[in-house]
Amino acid sequence: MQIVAALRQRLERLGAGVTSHVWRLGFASRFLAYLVVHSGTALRRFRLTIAEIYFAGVLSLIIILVSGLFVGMVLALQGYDTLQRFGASESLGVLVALSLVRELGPVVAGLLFASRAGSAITAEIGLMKATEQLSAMEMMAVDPVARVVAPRFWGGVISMPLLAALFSAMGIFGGYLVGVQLIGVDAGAFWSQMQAAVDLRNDIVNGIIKSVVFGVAVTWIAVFEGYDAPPTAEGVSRATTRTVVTSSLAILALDFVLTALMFTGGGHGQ
Amino acid sequence: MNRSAIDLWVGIFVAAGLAGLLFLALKVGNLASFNTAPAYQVYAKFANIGGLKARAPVKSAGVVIGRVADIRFDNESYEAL
Amino acid sequence: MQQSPDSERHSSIVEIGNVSFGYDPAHPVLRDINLKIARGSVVGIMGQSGCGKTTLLRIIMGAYLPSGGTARVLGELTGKLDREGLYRMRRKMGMLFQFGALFTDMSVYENVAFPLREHAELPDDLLRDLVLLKLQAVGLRGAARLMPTELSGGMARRVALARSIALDPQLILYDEPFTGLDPISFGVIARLIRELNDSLGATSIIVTHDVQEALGVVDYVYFMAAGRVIAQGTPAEIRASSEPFVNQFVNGKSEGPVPFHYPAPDYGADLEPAAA
Repeated sequence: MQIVAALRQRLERLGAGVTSHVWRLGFASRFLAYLVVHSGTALRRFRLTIAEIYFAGVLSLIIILVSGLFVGMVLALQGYDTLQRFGASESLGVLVALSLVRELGPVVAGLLFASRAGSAITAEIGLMKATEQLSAMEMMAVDPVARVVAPRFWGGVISMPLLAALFSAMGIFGGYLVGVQLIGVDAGAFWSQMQAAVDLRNDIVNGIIKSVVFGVAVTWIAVFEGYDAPPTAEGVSRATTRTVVTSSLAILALDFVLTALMFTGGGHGQ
Repeated sequence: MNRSAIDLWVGIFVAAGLAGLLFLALKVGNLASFNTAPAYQVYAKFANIGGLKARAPVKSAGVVIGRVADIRFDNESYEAL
Repeated sequence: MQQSPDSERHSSIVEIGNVSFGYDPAHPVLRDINLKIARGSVVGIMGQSGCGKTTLLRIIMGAYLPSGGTARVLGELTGKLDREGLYRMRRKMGMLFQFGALFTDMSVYENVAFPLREHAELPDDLLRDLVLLKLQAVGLRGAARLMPTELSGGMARRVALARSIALDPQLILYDEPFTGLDPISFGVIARLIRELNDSLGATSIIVTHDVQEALGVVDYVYFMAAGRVIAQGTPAEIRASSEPFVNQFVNGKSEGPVPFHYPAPDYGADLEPAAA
């Protein structure tokens, strides 16, 4: 009898937890809709959005470029090791390019963006809420969602694909450095096989689509968690952590869905 | 950070991002070999397509002149189209 | 303006009629509140922390709608306003938040200029003159280039005050303006509240529990406890009040209707070793 009661309590709590998460998702969706509808200010006074592109994009450049370079270099090292066993070392360029453009570029850049820019956005908005700056703005008849949140959202969405492209480009360069300069794969083969195998529409454009989707997801989560954070120090810090964790999981889950749609004969390939 | 400095850096960032995309499209992808020469559809029937997949290259004298657009099963002749 | 039969009603800037409110319907924070704030006066709303005075301020601001009763502010019922209407009403109001709530990413100048930039299309030199005028009124024109993090508490609050009067509001709300200030800043803020109110021809509502300072500034006081108005009157009347709670509050006594001890079980029983 004791066990049944305890079990029941666990189940109730689980149910309540699931319900509250679903409720929260609904709330977040309405927030996104409101944000998009009221993006007029962010677009008309583009200055505001430009400032946010700076904070989200430019300040993430270093980590993106350096990480891209290292990832590309490691890909070349690991890739060469396996490919040369099959005498396919000339396809190293293909391996590096496709891995980056299709997957690693959008995904890793997205994860890095979530932890650097996403957490910063959450912390900033959360702190503004905690110090009553958002309420003060409301009181001055200025909609804080339009003035503070929307520019950050669009700044993130615009920055993300650019960062992903730069990550992939740096990675390919890193792969070239290690593969051609260090290991000695033939440069001509490296580039020409790459060009033959990487298709603009199917690989590069799909990669860009992925990075746009990730950008929307990460920035949406970041601004929502910040706006919804309890106005205390602990609340803001927890919200920041939640942003990073939820964004990362969302990126990986969306990546699976998008990859399944795009790259496995789901469409007609053209 | 004053306004013009921010504008400058954002401009550099966006330009670099677009340059990266261009690099990917041109040097990495096959945009360079994207010719808009008029193409025509070729239909062929096969008893068995073997390992053929969509987007497989179609070569003539070893040069890629096209790609497989689509592979369908013809219900009437029971062959691969 | 012509005197109309309604002028009696409209000489009150704020009218709270039988207002009740609760975040949770089972636990009302405000019960049946009635107050009238006359145009041009400085009114204090005082009471213990948690008595509901800040919630009342938020209702006047339109941030919350009363669960029962009506709140009429600047001639309009807050319950009937849509978002546009609410913003229109707020453009005629100014609010000073507890610790200033200055925008930390902007300078002092930019903070005061904010409402002007958002709501008025002004040429730069006119904007500059207005901002400096407001800062001069609070004595901080020299601090225009500083960032909020470089200001002391008192200075930050004065800048926030300048910002709240940027659009020459008809109604100014103060949420605990004296909290955490040194005696000199106390006096400065108190003087500013009075001076600005009179020079702008505005009405001010101060929510505070700093009794002595506030009693020296206000024209009228409403005393709240547990969500109700338990006393009201001029500062002199309040000081002389025999109402036990008011008495305890005004004189800072540690015993009275508000007990010293938080409710607890019998002391002797608590000290006994716990039963096995």
